[in-house]
Amino acid sequence: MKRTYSNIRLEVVISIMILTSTIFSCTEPIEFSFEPSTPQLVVEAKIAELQYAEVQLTKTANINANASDNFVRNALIVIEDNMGNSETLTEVSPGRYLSSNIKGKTGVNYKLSILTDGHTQILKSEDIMPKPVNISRLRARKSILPGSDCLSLPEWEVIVEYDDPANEVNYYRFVEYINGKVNSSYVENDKLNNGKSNKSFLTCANRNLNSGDTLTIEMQSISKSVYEYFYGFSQLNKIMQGTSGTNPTSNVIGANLGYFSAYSVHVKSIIIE
Amino acid sequence: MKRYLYILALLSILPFTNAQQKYTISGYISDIHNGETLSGATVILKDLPEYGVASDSYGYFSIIVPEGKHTIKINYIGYQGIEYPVDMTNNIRQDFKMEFLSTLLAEVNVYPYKQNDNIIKNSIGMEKLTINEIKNVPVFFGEPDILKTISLTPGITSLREGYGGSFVRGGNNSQNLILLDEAVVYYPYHLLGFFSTFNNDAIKDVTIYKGTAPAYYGGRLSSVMDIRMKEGNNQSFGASGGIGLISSRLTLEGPIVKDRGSFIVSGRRTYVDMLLKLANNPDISNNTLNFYDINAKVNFKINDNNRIFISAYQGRDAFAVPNHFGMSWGNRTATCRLKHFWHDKLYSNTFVAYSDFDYDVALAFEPSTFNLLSGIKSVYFKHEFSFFVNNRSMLHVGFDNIWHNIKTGQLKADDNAIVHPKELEDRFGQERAMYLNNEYKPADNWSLNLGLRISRFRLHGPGTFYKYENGLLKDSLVYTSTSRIKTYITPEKRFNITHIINQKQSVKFDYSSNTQNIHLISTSDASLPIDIWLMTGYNVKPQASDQVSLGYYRNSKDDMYQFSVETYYKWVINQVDLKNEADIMANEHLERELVYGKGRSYGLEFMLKKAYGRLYGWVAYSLSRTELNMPEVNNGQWYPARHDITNDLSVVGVYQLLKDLTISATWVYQTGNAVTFPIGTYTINGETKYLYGDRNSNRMPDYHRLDLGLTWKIKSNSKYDSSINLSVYNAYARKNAFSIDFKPDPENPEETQAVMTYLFTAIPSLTYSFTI
Repeated sequence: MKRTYSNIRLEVVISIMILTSTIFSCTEPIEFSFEPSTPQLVVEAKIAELQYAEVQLTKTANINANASDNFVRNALIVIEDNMGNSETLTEVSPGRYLSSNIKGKTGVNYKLSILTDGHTQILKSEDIMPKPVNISRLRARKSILPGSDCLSLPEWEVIVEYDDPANEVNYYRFVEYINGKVNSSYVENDKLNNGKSNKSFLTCANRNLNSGDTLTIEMQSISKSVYEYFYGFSQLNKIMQGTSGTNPTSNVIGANLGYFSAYSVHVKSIIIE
Repeated sequence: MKRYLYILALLSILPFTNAQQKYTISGYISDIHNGETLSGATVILKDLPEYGVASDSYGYFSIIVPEGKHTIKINYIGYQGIEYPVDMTNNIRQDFKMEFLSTLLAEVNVYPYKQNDNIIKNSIGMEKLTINEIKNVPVFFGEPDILKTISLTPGITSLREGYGGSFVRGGNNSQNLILLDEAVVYYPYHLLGFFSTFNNDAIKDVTIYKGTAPAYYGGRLSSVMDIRMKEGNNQSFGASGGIGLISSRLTLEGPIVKDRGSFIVSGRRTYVDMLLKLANNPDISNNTLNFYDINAKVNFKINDNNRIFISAYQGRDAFAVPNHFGMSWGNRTATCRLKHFWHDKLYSNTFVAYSDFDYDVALAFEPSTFNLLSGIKSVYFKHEFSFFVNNRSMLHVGFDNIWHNIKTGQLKADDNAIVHPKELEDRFGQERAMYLNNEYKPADNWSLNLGLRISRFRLHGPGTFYKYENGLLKDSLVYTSTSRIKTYITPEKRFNITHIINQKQSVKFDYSSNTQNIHLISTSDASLPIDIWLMTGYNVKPQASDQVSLGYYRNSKDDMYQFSVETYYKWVINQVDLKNEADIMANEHLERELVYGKGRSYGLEFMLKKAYGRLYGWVAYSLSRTELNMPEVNNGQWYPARHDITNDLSVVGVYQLLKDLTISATWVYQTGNAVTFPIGTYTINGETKYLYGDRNSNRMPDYHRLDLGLTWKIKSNSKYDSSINLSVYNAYARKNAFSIDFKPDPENPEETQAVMTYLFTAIPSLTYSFTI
């Protein structure tokens, strides 16, 4: 959750929850029997600046059903760019495919095609890598949001500062790592603050930071379709949907779940005092 | 179209063919102590019972009587009947004042009225509640609430706490026309929907039509909730009020000139934030959380033929977390009505009204603050003629005209703010309607209500307007302020037939069509006043509905027990919803983010009422289904609407235990509403994500709740009345789910845990009330 304009409604909800929770409101885990589902293909395909293309193919599992092996093997995956290069990815471990020649470059248009084993599914996607934007400052501080016994509110605020380029439309994704492990991710666009020196407040409710921890933020410059995909997971979208969830709209044609992102990246780390 | 008008006109003139000499007696019926007019009182001739009418919503009646000596009988719920001898040799103007029974029968506070209105009135899908009926029903934080109480009747559902709103026969929140003295109230709730904006002390009664309203109402698909303010005591000055745990209220009323005019001013203020001061955490104790309402009304009889009413309302909520966030929202309405008698059988009402609703969200970001503003404003003009053609025919003809101005969204920010200022263009539109409604009795046991309303909506300039096709911008057009951008004309037909089998039972049928041009885009699942209003235009088409209803009504034991069963089927088209991942923030292309579809709902509604006695109350049960069909959702298959509640049961009981002690109880049971739970899991970038199946194919846990109330009259005499009300909301502390979230179990991150949020358990409250 970020405290930027696009999250105003989220702020409203949090604030109202704070206020009402001072009188009432509690949470408790409940018994719940999950319905089973047919396994579906999940595509996680990315090519970062100066990195090899990487695709992970997995299948969804039933919830709390001790899924053993969800990897999708033996797929034929081809990546090509608009400069005439093309390459078939190699499966380096079950369900994980890598390129060995093509590396990500900004401004390049990448096309991905996936043919699953047995030719049951043909998937296609395309993405253009935007130019990177750098984090100018990263800091973490104790949140000013008051919590209560029943409402777990962010204890820490992480503030990412960067200068948004004025001459283009930008979409960002921030991936947050604590001691090298992914904790959360957020998306943002510059629709209402184009060209400003921005401060993004990453306020995540289940962030557990302690003195000595390394906090890393990977700031990705992403395309509109990837932004829209990840926006589907955002807290803001969740407020609109309430208890009814939906699957975010994928930019991979033929797939219901997953994305293909060509992104540039800037990383900054700090150690919590 | 002309054919309808012709038939209606013909029906109203037909019964003129009478030979015998007849005269009219007309006048107002009011309460003897405070002068409040009584609507729906029955006026019949004792000797010729086929001559009967009811007073209109302003307490006025007009009845045609044959020449000679008769006795007029007047009856009204809870009041002592009147018999009045007349000798009809010319037209008579006579007002009647009725005595409230509970003040006469101080022994036991029973309601010994005998009335079979429900049988003989040609209204189906209609409920009317007066403040006297609901004041003992236990409620949230001891605040009697007319909107909350009406949701205890069949076909009207209010979702679990925090979701606010009234869902009438499968319609959504924005499809209710909520009128306060004829002015629209756009957002009728305070504090997340826990309270309605209607202060009980200022309200006289509410009439609700579940999509079956006469032609003089229009503009919304699902329902009309016509709420009338009290007029004020025109006999003597008085004050009343109450002091409660979270709010206090005070009402002053009295005559301007005795018997000719009166005023009432009523205020209510909550102080939840006072309770916050008790918190140890200074972050909490400095927060602001409150709301207020002010109602005022003046009426004055200029002379026998002219009477003027002016009423106004203002209410506002405020929330603030210092240095962080602030928000306020509220409604304002004002109405001026002039009633003019042209003749004892013909009068007209002329209204000018104003409504607005707005919200303002302020967010503090170092080094500055910025605000988000949005709202809607409307100005009305309405002129209506009511004509008592004869005892068998009552005609309403009128037109209304509403000008709307929607402030779609504005971002107010200075140079230091983290966002750029932005203001979306205001939108202007006009709704206009002409209507004709005839209540007509072709025979003693048959009654018809025929109505036709021709409504026209027009979107006006100035501004830039966009056309979209398949989610892409196709055209953008710039218009000046005199431009007419898009016009829609819709005929709305209303037809109702009642067959009175006998004085104890009847059958009714209704067909009604409705249209709606003001759409509310709901931006959150919970009830927050930050939704966006839109008007019909290039992309959004007028919503329309058709509904058929059939009902059977039966009374027994001197109308003490009143039973009804109604069934309905409703079709709706041009429904609007946001698509997944919609961008709604200060977006001039909001209409691109919408999906459109159709809906249907059907149901069976039972009501058994014990209308009077030491124990009175009702049992209401609805069995219903509401489904939507949108091409983008569920591959175009029908799916349950979010507010689809299969079973909805309410039991309300009020019991006069002792002369000064009344106890009451309400029990509500609802099937959980339709939601989508995850059915599978996967990971994206190392984070656990969930797979969702068909839209709304799951159910929240069932909702149920018991409320208890106790009212003790401490002192009651002619000078001073006081009472204490003790109530417990959710008495057996049921943890009703507000939401259910899914996340990795903190103990075992491989496993998924379902976590329920509930808002509260049992809430006791205490209120002291007085009347001087």
